[in-house]
Amino acid sequence: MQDAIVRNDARAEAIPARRRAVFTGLVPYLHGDDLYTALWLWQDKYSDGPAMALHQFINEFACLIEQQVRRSDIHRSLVAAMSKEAVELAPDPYGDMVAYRERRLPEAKLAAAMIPENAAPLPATAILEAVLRSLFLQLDEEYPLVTNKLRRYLSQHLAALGLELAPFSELSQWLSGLREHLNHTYSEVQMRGLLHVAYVGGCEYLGPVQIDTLLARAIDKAEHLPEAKDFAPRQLL
Amino acid sequence: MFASRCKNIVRFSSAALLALLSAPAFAADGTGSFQVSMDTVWLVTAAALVFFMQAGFALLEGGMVRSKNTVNVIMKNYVDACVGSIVFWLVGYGLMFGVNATGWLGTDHFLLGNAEHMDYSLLLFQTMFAATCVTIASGAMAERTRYESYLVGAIGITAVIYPVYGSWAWGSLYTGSGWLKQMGFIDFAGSTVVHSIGGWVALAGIIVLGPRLGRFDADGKARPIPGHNLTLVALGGFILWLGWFGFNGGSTAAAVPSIGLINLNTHLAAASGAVGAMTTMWISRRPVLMTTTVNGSIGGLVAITAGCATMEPMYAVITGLVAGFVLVGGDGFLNWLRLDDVVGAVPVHAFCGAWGTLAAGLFKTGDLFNPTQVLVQFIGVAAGFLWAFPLALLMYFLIHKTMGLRAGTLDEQRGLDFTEHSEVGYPEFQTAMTHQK
Repeated sequence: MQDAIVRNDARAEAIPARRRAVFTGLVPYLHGDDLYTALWLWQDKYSDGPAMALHQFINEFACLIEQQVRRSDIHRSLVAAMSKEAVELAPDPYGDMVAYRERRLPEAKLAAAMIPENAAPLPATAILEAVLRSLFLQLDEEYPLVTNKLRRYLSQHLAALGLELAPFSELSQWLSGLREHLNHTYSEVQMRGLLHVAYVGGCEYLGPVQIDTLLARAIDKAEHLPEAKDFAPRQLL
Repeated sequence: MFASRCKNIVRFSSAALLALLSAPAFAADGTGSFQVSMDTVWLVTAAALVFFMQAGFALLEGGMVRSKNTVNVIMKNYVDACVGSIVFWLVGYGLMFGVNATGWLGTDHFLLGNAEHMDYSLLLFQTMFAATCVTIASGAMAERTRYESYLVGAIGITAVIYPVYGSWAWGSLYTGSGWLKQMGFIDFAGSTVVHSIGGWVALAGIIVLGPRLGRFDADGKARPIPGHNLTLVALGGFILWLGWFGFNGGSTAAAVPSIGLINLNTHLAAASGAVGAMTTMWISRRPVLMTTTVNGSIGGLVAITAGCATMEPMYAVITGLVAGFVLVGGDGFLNWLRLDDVVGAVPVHAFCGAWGTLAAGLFKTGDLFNPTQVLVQFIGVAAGFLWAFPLALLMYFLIHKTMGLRAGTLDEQRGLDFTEHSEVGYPEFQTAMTHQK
């Protein structure tokens, strides 16, 4: 199991290298806001996706940005950048991306850090909480000895998700039962990462067949919530 | 009524055969006699039967994995046949069957062209064997292997591991002879050459990969991870059984009367392999699983492959029965070692292949239980292991270090169908289980 986590860490470490490649591939075609919009889209949604998701990424950001782009040229450029050596790639744009987001969204960021517990959560956060809650409830009913083990396992691996202090603290408290609801905004990658840690822990304590079934049931249940219209629970898988 | 109809059929068949024999076309083009034509027809038909075994492997392995990995494992089987065929034509055939002056390696007949008709037939038939050998690892390594890395391994097997050992046991078709062949090693259709070699490669692969997430609990006990479609498993088993009549029967490379004995032995060993596996499960008070029963018959088929032409039917039954025991025992042994072989390829192909090769020496007609022959067989089995296993271990280790052999844990969760191929096997039925865009 330690190996599995090490492999996860290795996967996470590969993200900066892939981000440099995406930046290198996009920079001849996109500038300013459009470039950072595309980079953040990749970071939040596609950084842990399969390589063949590039097409989907290009289609999605082409709808978001203002300028007209030639998708085939950008695709070729991204594929070429992905196969380049590290020394040929542009530096990691992450610092600039964060600065851009802070410049553009200071109020939103401030609000996200100071959300009180009784505030209405975003649909994605509500779905995440519903899925995790349903998973723990099923564990309580069918495998009561495993629930606390899995909660502890999740708490121990929160650091690997790269959360900022406030959401980290919120999740940590929620997992320990010290907080009733989740209210912070989490990126898709972070939420998916959290559920994946639950899956890995479930595999260790129960086996893959059981955790697959429980997770499927939890997702199925969440799909009936009103928030599922705004955020499909399956995106967390 | 039935008897008279049968008589008519026999009369009609005899007349047709007579007309065929008297037709001048067979000798008119100077390519050979009627016998050569018959040999070619049989060999090419047998090659088609062996090719059909790929479908058997695909269904068997596809059914034994979880639904989220079906496309991936079937793709591996499919592309094994494609890549393996090209690579074997490029280098494998030359290394295996080319002029072999030293006894260790063939040195010509690469990229075969401008050759005799029979050479083409033999290349076609042997290409199917190479494809069979290479696809054995796919099932053992299923559900957690990166697709591109697996294909690189498949190229290594077809280009080097399989043909070099093959040249020792079967080379050359032209000048020279392999060192094992010179010693009198019996492996008629490849219990060791094809199956054990593939099985040892699979063993190396699963050692480098490690088990699937959650396959073993904290105490090392194996958790069952059932396949998603046992109907496919049974159908795959039947297709493999059928294909084996071409695999063993075609290894005569000629339309000769001994094909009857060879295929009878093949059939009896398959049947007794299943019975042997079931008996072992009953005796050990385990549930009598269909997957293990099907594997038992395949174990019997693998085991009889070496000696199907050189033993009496009674010994074919014994060979198959023992293969059934070996299979069930081997499966438990791997679990005890915490090695995760998804479809049981290592016990079926490596262990039953090794047993069958020894059985070919033990039960040789007219020379039963000759210790010298058994020793030669043992040397052949040991040489196969010592060649294929360490080399495959090194190959997969290097692939693991350079490209990465193991898929990430998130890929295991989502299923390799989506993460490696961006599609799912059953899009209408997997809505909650798998990640889908």
